[in-house]
Formats: sequence, structure tokens, C-alpha cells
Amino acid sequence: MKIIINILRFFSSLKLTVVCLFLSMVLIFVGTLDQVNLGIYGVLKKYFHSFVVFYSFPNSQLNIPVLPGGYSLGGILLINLITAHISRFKMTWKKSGIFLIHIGLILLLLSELFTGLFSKESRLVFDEGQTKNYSEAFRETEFVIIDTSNSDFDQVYSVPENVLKKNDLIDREELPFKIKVHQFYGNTNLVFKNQIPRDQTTIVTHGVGLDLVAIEVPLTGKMNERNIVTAIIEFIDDGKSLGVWMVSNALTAPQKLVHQGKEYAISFRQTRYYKPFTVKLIDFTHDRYPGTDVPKNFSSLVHLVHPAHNEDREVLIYMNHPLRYEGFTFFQSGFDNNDTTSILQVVKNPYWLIPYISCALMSIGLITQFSMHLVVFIKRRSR
Amino acid sequence: MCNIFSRVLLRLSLLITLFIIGCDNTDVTSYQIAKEKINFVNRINTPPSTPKVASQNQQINRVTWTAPADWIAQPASSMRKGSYLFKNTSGESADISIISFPGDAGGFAANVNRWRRQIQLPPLSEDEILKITKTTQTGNSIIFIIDFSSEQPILDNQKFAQVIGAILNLKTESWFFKISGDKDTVSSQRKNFHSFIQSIKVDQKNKIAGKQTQTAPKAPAPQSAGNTNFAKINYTKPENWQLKPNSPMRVASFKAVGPNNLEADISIVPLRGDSGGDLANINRWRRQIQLLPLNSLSEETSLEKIMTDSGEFTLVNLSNDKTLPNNNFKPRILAAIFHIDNEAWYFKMTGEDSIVTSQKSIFIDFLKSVSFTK
Repeated sequence: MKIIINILRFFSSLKLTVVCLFLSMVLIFVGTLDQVNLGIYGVLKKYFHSFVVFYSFPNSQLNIPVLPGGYSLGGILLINLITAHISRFKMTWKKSGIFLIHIGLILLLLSELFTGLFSKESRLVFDEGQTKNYSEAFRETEFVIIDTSNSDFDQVYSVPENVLKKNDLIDREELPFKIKVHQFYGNTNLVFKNQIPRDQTTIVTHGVGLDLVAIEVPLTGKMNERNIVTAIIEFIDDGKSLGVWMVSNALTAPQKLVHQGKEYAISFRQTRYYKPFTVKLIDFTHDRYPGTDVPKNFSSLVHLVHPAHNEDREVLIYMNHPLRYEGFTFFQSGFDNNDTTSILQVVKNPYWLIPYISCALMSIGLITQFSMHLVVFIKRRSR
Repeated sequence: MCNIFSRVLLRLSLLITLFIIGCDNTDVTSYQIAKEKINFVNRINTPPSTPKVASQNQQINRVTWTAPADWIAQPASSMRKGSYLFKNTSGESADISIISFPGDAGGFAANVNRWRRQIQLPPLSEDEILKITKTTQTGNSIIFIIDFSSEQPILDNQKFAQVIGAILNLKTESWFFKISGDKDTVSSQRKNFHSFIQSIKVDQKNKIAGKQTQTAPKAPAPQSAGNTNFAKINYTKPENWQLKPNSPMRVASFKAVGPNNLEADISIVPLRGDSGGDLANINRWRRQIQLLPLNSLSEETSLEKIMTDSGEFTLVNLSNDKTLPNNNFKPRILAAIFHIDNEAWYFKMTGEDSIVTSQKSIFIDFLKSVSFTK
């Protein structure tokens, strides 16, 4: 019992709050500086979406923990706030403002946790006239085997990048054959063999990889760069090798594998998120200020079709006016190919409303608390 | 109260921990999708592609060309930015490819030698390649053209192979234009290929999208010819100067060879604005040959004004009597600065003292031949 009380005392102490806030400041400061090296995505992953921040010594495998990560600090602050609130706070009308502020803060911390865990951001890149029913991840990649033998549908077997990276042999019931991973590179430059001084020996026996060499390069977390993930994989069925292939998200089209009369398309690509509806880009407009290249406005006119919901309408998506549909938000994000390709950012965040609610609660709490003090102050002065 | 609360807290912590651990749901999945049209023709996105983001300020090089009417356009394949086929009446064909690579793609000589290897020719040194290289100009960029045929009938053991290639080095990438095939067919297209090379245009501009880039002006930085539209320079190359492939910043590079095979490097670099002022640039050159910087231009005794039809050049002649350890010779820099509108043009000859001194009158004649057109 005494131990529990001590634990509670520890978690509800103001000292812990101050230490956590100080460490949070250090974390933000160091993370901001490291953005030069890692880019925004890399910093988010290393400092804020982690429990512990490790320092890696140059040219060494040694990693030492140096700071608690964002999840740890956020979690401890959350527990600290809840325990302090329950163990010390007495609910009275006079303190209703503070209560609302605390509830708002707790909601904000929770929403950050849930957003970090559950929100998905991807992008939809389509040309004018093109219809798509999927968006693609910015960074995550997947290896897919697509069985095209059925005339009505394609059967997709998806192996996420992490599974390929962590396993030498992937033997799952879901897959049509076993996958042996010979090499996995997180980021590479793919070059043609005849473009480099010496030919490299390769174990690849099939596909476009016969003419290619993957040169491993450091991983990038920068916003305007992406990793070219490449793997050398072998397919095995009934103990018999079906060949060794090079797969990479730098290759723009799938490679063909024919086995037992079935045609498979194999591909390494940005992870796809299929939707139950289709979006067609009718027109992309990019207005510039006259006589300059300075953009005035850019917008995508899209045709949204969702047969199950009898949805069939045109929508104009432009800056600060996203399309919100079925839990997804489509923002106008970019363009390409002389203004004939539109890039929409697709965000699915079931908790997107919580920060608004928590800010509203905190605002009401602050107004309530200050108003009460103001009333008391005015009353005193009038006496 | 405390007891109940502690239990609730422990359970809540356990729940959140399990929840977080359980969130790594990335595993093998299988699902059905509506049939998609699959194209098995593969290309490689090299270098790692950069998604264009609305708030990104990107420099793009739009290289355009006009192909002769009798070249048949082919679908882009592998890394080709453009592909054509020429077929004569007897069915002989020549392949025309247009490829771009980031940076200098291994260097000028390495790429020419790669082409030479393709038709079983031995590699040459850069100097040897430069001797057989012709040049032409598009805007401020120089295109190097090489033309060679195989020494043996390597095509079906009956025909000689021929390659005519052109290399265009831009600031961030290199472009390779090549026609290859049997000697007779390629030779018949030599004139067409040269017209094709003459039609190449480089439209370099900064593509800016998104409001953020406009509201956050950046500090002015020196910009080289590779990323902005400078005045077009015209000049007459001295006979004993050899044109060299460009490096970033330079619009032209030459070398002058003197006795004992000593070389002087000549460069032309334009910069936006005054790029720090003449004194800062002269001090930069002084530091390059380990001379102390000056406090004012009046301290530089070697300054001369050269009047030409284009205007006034400021000539500076710097030398160090000491042999520098990294060169093993006494260095000299002969440089001229020319200001036109909002641009500063720097002409610089660097090398061993005697070779640069012997080239001074040629350098001044070269400056006199320089003219600019907007």
C-alpha cells in the first residue's frame, strides 16, 4: 500500500511535470537541429514518435539512450496530469475553469497519441482523365504479387516492407509461394550494368534486374526525397526455385512471373490504400499572376463516384478547400507534368476533431477562470 | 480512494501499452481488387524521384528539341527521355537516344569511352578525346559532339558501326544525345543529327508553387549561369586555347598549354548582382594563391582598366613568388571583371607563373572579342 502511495506521489508531483516539460523543450530543440540531417520525417520518427532517443556513434554499431522520446514524455505527462488531478483536485465551481483546461489538455495529449498511431497520410497522383480508387503512401512500400488469372478480379498478395526486411524466408499460408529474401536494401541507386566501370556479379536470374545493379546508399528522411527500396528475392514452390528477381520501387511497372499456367505480376511499390469509391481528375487548373510564374491558384475538378452510396458528383478541390468524404480528407497538394497531373494529399484521421474540441474546452476554461477572477476583482474595487 | 484509483491507473497504463504494441499491424495480407490493366514495360525512376510538393521551390531544366521529319518517334523505354528510329529504303536502321543523368554522370571522358567500348574501340584520355571533339552552343550551354566509327566490321561481321554523340552538361544534370548504327546509315544522318543538335533548347527556370514560397523571401545568394537566364555571351576563342567540358557555375572552360606541358585553366563565370563586390572577389582570388587579403581596392597595385567595344573590364594580375606545396609551382592569376546590368562576369586564368604571363596578351585580346546580347 505504501509503495502504491509512493508511486502515486511520484507520478502526481509537480517536480515531475517540470522535469518532463524541460525534457520536452530539450527534445524539441535537439530535434529541430537534427532536422538538417534527418529531414522532418526522420526527426518525427526518431525524436517524437519513439519511446527512447538513441545516439549512434559514428562508424559504430553502438547506440546509447540519451533522451526519453515523445511517446514517453507525452505518456508520463498524461499520467502526471491525471494522477495530480484526481489526487489533489477538488471539484468546486470556483475551479471549474481549471478543470476544463485540464480536461482539454488531457484530450490534446490523447489525440496526439491516437493521431500518431492511427492517422494515415497518403497521396493520390492522377493525370487528367485518369480514374483511381487508391492512394499511395508517401514512404511505406509493399511488395505485391498479383494473380491476374481470374477474369473478374485480381488477387493481390501484399508483403509490407518491414516483413521483407526482417525475414529471410517468408512462408505464409496467404501467399501462393514462399519468398526467400537474399538481399534487402533500404535505399539504393539503381544503375545499368553498362553504366558502371566494372560489371557486378549478380544472382538475379529473371526480369529487368538482370541488367541492373543496386548500389546501397544511406537512408533519407528528407521531405523532398524518398528511399529507393530494393530487394533480391527468390520464389520457391514445393522446394523448387522459380527464379531470383530484383524488385524495387524505382521500377515503374510490374515484372511477369508465370507459374503453373497462372500469370503473376510482381512489383515493389508505394503501399496502396484502396477505397470503395473512385475519383477521376477532370481538369487541373494552375492560374498564375499575369506575366509571372507566381501561382495564384491551383485546383482540381474531380468526379467522385461511389455506387454503393449512389454518389455521383463533381467536386472542385482547391487550396484550403479540401474534399472531406468517407473519413478521408483530400487536400490539393501539388502538380506535375506541365500542369496535367494533380497530386492530392489524402489524410485519414478519425481523431481530427479532438484537437478542436480540446482547444475549445481550454478556451472556455481560460475564459471562465479569468472571468471569475475579474468579477471578484471588480467586486473588491467597487467596495 | 487511493486504492481504487491506483488500480484504475495501472489498468489504464497496461491497456495503453498493449494498445500501442498491438498497433503494429503491418503483416502479409491478401485482398481482391477490380481488374487493373497491367503494363509490363519497365522504366527506372533514377535518381530517386522527388515528389513535387505545392510549397516546394524547384529548379527545372526543360530541354527541348526538334527531331527531323524522317526520324520515327519511339516510345520512351528504360531511361530514355526520347527515342527515335531512322530507317532507310533498304531497311537499314539507326537508333537515336536521348538520356539524362544527374550531375556529370561520371565525367565527360568516362561517358565518351563508354560509347567507344560499345563499338569495340579502345578508351582515350580526356586530352585525346578533346582533340576529336567539336562544339556547338545552345544559349549559354556548350554541347560537345564526338563522332567515331569502329575499326572492325563488328555488325554481323560485315558492317562497321558508327556513333555520333552529343553531351550537354547543365548545372544539375547531363544530357546525352546519340545516334548509332551501321556506318553508312548513321553517316547519311550526320547532317540531320547536327540540325537536331542545333535545335536543342534549354529553358531553365525556377518553378515556384504555393503561397509559402512567395511570403518567405530568401536571402539573395550568388546564382550561377546554370540556374538563371544571364546575358548571352559571344567571344572568339584564341587558337591555342582548348575548350574543356564545363563544371558547375562556369559557362565556358578552356585550357592553354605552354612549354613543359604546363597548363593554365581559363574560366568564365557569371553571377547575379555584384556577388560581394570586386574587392571581395579579388581577395578570394588572392587567398587562392595564399596572398593576404586587402582592405581596399586602392591597395591592389596590379589593377588595370581594359576598354573594349562591350565596355570596361577591370583586370587584376596576382602572383605569389613562393612555390605552393599543392601545385609545386609559382602560381599566377590573371582575371577580369565585367559588370553588365545586374550581372557580374568573371574571366579568370589560373596556372603556373610563366604560362599565365605568356598568355596575357592573348587573354586581353580574348576580352576584347567578348560581347553580350540579352
